[in-house]
Amino acid sequence: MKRILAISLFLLAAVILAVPVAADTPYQGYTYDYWGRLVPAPAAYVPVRTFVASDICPTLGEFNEPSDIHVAPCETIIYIVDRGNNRIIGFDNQLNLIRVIDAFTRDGEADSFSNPNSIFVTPSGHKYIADTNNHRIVVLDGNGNFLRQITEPDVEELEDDFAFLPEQVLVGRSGRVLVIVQRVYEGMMMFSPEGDFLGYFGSIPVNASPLELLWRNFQTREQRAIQARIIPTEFQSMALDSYGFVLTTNIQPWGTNDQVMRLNPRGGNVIENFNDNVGIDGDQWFRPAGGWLTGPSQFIDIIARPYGKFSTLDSTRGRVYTYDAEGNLLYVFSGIGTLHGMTNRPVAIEMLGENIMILDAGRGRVVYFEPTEYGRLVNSAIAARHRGDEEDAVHYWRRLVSLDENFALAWAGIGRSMLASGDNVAAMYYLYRGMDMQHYSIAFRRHRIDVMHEALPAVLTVGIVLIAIVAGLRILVKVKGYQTAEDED
Amino acid sequence: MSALKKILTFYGLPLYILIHPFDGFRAMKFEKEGRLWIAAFNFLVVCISYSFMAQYTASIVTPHNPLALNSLMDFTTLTSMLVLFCVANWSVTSLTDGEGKLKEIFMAVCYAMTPLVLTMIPATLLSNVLAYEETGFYFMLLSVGMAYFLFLAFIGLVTVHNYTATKAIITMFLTFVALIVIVFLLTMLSTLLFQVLMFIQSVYDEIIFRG
Repeated sequence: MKRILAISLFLLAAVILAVPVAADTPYQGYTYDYWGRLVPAPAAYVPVRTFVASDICPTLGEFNEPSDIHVAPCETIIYIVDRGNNRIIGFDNQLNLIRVIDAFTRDGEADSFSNPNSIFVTPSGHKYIADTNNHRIVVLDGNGNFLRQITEPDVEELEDDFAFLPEQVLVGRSGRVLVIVQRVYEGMMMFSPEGDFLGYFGSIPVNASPLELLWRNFQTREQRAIQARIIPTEFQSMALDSYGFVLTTNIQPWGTNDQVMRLNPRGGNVIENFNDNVGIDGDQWFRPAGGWLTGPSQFIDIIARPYGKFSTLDSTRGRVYTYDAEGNLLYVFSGIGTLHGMTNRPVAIEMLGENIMILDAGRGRVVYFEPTEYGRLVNSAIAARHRGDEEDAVHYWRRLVSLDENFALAWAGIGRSMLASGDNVAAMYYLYRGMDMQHYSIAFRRHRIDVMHEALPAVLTVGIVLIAIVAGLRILVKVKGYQTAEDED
Repeated sequence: MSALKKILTFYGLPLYILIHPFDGFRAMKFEKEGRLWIAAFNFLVVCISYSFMAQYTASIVTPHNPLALNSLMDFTTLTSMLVLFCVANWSVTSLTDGEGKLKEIFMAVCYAMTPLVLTMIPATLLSNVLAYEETGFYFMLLSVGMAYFLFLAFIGLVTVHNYTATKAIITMFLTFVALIVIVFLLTMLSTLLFQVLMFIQSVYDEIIFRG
């Protein structure tokens, strides 16, 4: 009786103590395994605070339809484009207001913004602001003085009723200005640093279904002319990675695999995905249609993170997906909801060091996330692996495996280091758990040679002896048979 | 030695068909040497080999998801495919002067499965000693077995129905049309049955809630 009481008390204590271990985030972290099945994972990022405009300075009032959040690379100032109020608010990490940009002097006259959509700050401190309804891009220097503006280019192929409505702007390494313009399907518009139109940059492959193409075959020329053209979608967002490549997203109607592109300086897509069964397109399993939170993930914003990683923001379910340079989904966090750490209508993300901010236009606030121990470990491991420092990486992978047994990359990482150190049997075990079949095959081939080295002498000896015995017996039988035949004669 | 002989007398015809398909199938049909239970045995071995393959093929060759394995499901799928094919073929050939009975069609297809019996398990075992670059051998072995099975099944059906090759090809095509029709009818039947059941259930619910 006492023992039963003790056991039940122990179980009760175990249950009570087990509860705080579960993450108290309103969302569940997850990733996908080799076959594309959903695998739960610990939360990689947790919300630490949420702030609105009046938290920065009480006189600022509230954000009205904010559209972009951007961190200046050199001065760690966070800029929020407060679109509805036609202003840009700059503040620091501690929420101290640094400057509000809502007016500037152009050619001696006061000028202001109209529905600005985004901001980009160059390393030298110049600010490029997509001033959408004024049909221009305004360039300001570090002190907020007007430098120049980029307006609609004088290009023949643009239609007569074309309006230059820049939505996003980015300045590349060589000073080229890339602009995403509404209703321009050729790609991004590319301008020289002086503002001359250079051409288009990057293009989105057109996705027409085979049925559509077949149907077009049967149509007459007139029918085809009336029917809507099959045109690519528009770019949604872009970010400059540490190699000077441009990461972009676009929304594909059915979430096909080209949602995220990494464009090299020539505009070619060089994104890599080493996974056969999981694309870089957010959620793999979702309800196709029928109300709230349904349909494929739609990436409305992207940030380039260090060591080839990138994070994308999904407007369908409000989640942030982080991938590494090889296209592996590392972690997922946040979502649409009302709890602390969820957003109503997320529009933009930005990072500050390892921390991530999501701009929620629906409620006019910013949610600030910090990595958990798990998230930090993933980031450090990916960094070490990207640097080629496998020794250091294994250290992180081992700790990750003790936190999350389902994290395939960690198993594969340990396995690769085992392979490098020549422990083939252990490498096979780890690589199999990480489903890294290319490296598993190498370990297996080496192991196979080892086994053959050990077994072949024995097998060959036994084989030769057996052959000798059989041959000897046959000779013996023949000789005997010959003898008996002779005897009979 | 006598054990081998016993196996040969018991399993002799399937092995003979492997080498002399025309003579073998003719013996099966006209000299009544075919046995239904040997055909069933052949098919059962193929089912078991299939499950064995799904379970034990090395993951370098085909990374099967261990949680998606279901031997019962495999067995049901293979059986229903075989039954569907036999019924479809029988219903087409009985209209186009085919001489084969349903039993003979079943036996011909099952006797033709011997190459699968002989290749699937060895291929699975082979896959476990192959590295990534050598997987071609595995697929070659499997596809040779499969191609030979299709070839034998074709000859078996030609012999059983006493067809010419062109007529056999045409009936084969019609068989697939019949297959699609049968599947369509079955789907419709199950949908309608489900609706009837739903209706009965809702009537029952109504009575329960009112009463």
